[in-house]
Amino acid sequence: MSTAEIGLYRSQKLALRYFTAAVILFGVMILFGFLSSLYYLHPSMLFKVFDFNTSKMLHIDTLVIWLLMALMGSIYWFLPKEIGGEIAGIRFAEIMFWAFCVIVAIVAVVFIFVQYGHADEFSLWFINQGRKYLEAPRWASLGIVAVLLTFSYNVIGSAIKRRKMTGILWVLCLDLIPLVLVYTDAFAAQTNMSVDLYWWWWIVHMWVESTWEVLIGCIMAMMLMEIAGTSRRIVETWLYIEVMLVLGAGILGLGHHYFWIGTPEYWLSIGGFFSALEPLPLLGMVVHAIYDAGSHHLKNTNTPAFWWITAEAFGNFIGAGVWGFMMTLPQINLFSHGTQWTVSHGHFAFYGAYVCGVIAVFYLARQKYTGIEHLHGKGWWWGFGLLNFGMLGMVMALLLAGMAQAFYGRAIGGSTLMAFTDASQNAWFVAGMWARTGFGVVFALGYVALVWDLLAIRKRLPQAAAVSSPEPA
Amino acid sequence: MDIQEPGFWRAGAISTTAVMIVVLIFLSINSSQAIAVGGSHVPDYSVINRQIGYRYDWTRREDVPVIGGPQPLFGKVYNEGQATALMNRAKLVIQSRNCINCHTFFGNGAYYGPDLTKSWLDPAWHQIFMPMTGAKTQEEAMVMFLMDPPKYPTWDRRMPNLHLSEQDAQAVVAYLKWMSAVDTNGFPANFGMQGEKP
Amino acid sequence: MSPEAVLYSAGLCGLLTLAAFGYGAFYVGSKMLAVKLIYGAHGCYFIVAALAILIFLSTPLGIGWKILIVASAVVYAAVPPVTWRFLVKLHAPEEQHS
Repeated sequence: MSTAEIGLYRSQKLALRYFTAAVILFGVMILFGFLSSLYYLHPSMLFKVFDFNTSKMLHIDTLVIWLLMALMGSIYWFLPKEIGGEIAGIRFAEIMFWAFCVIVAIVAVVFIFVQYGHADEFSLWFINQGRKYLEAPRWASLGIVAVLLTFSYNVIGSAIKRRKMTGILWVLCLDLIPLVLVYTDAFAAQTNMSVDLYWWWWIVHMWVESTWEVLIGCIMAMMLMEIAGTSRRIVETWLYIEVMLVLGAGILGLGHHYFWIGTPEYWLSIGGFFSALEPLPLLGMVVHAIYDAGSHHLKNTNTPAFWWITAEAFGNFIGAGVWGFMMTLPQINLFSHGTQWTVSHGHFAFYGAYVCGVIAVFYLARQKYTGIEHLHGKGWWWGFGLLNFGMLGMVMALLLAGMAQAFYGRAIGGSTLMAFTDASQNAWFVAGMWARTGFGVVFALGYVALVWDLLAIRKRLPQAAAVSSPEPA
Repeated sequence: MDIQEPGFWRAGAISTTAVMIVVLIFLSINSSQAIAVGGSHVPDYSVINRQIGYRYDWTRREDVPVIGGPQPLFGKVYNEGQATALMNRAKLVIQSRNCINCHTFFGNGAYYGPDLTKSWLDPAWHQIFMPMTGAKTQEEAMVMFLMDPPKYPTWDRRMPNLHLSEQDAQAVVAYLKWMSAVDTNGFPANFGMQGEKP
Repeated sequence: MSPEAVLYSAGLCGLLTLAAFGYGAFYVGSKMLAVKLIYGAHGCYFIVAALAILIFLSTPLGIGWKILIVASAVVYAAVPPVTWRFLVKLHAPEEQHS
């Protein structure tokens, strides 16, 4: 055990392990994202050996898993502080972390080397479920349920054990119920595609646009209290407002996924209305973020975390708000849905809403772990600059490609095989795909710079140790 | 109650969330009826025995599927039970072969291959694949293509051979025919009707 | 909707939201950094309003969506000042303590 680890709760050490796993999977996600982009430029690449669908599946599944691990790690990091002691069931949590890693590794090996099976239940249980984001075979999904249940027990059990129930803990505990409940759809194999997609969207939308939003809201609230010294009354008030707005617009915002899957026409109005309202609260959040940035002293203790939190507020508004509103009205979505335009929105929104936020937590955890009172320096700038620039470039390139597809393939061509082919060979589309790969390289370099900088903080440890506090962080 | 107090917003968060959940539950009950097989938007599986078209509806102002007269599939008329068995098999093929990570169904999935929502109605089967495979019917051409896609490439992005048996391929063809009869509120627009309508 | 109208309408919707973002950012900037930034906020909001009118008059979007967009453009005007006032009021007791 290093000297730095002595001052940490076991839950926080577990959090560090989760962060390490998350950062590694973040890298794997980038690797398969880059590989997936190359198929568009060199379609014959690895043909019959390792086809696009496997690469793309690994890209999106590692995205979900690394963000989930980072969010869970963040809760494990802040929870001891919130309840005032070690969390309940820490040993189970530690065991489940390794189980989680083993599950992910086995699934990855099966995806890479087996890829697909016969049309039977065995394939769904042990190879691939073939539902976007939920490809993990059923045995692995059962494992993820066990991980989520342990996580829920850690949070709820801790609150009960310590007889402490703050506003943040209430929100967190209640949020865990839908988080686990909607995941039960991960086992379904509905013959009817409309029914399949209807419930599939419950898990995909409710995780990403509802329960995860609340989860990161709780994390940000605990982070602001810890590093900026904001009062509980303020962060809890803001958390409730956020929950009200996110769930108020988000629950029926589910309707924007129900435009074209065989559902009744009223979803066009409901989905369009609620997702058109979404940028309004997001603008309020931008105002709040800038207010916080100016009035608190976060900037003075952890510069990288400060900038990543700011990037999150901006990225969330532009990625989810601007990019979302551009394509959400049914009359436009009829043409933009299912093109690279959607990919552009997806990348930007995930990045803005979650990636920037969890990177801020990584910096904070590294600061506390190494005991550095003031984390400044210039190294972090490379990761920050390259990741943001790379992402911005990628989404602009994908937007260009997507607009070309919507214009030539959908609106003019009528979405047939030949229309799809023509649009995919269109010069604007091809230019967009090349640019996406180029900016993908910039993003990957940003990742390397980020990891380098996070590790470099350790090197500052000898000087920092002198000023570190022996108390649990 | 003061808006500076967390309690005010807690009440707001709880009531807003509760109202939205209740509304969603009611809408989901209603939608479940519409999307069930034989519901108002999703036809029975035995629709595979009928002709299926896709026309612009001036009252709804969108494209809608049109179910026509008899048109046996593979020269056979399936009863509801046989059709259901075929669909169950097809969906297992679609999931086990990870189709959704190249293609989209109702626009959901991956964007490397074309959308399959109205694939059954694609003129390419008649114009390209029937001459290429030498098959006499569209469904035969589709089966031949699905059993060995690299043999019938149309451009440089090729579909790999996913080792479908003939029964698997026939089931998938039936599934695509059924899916083209689902009322998708006009998605995709103008399918196969280049320049024919507004 | 014609192919051109799809891109035109989507582009205007995106620009409107982006201008709203600029309005919010300049508004807070004017409160925290320099009062002069309020001109930037006014400029951005002018763009929001102009785009809402342009969307209303020149796109083939349904009348319901057009009304929603114009209404949201009006609400945008209030979001930054209302949020700001609320934040100041919310933080006031702590500020007095420190």
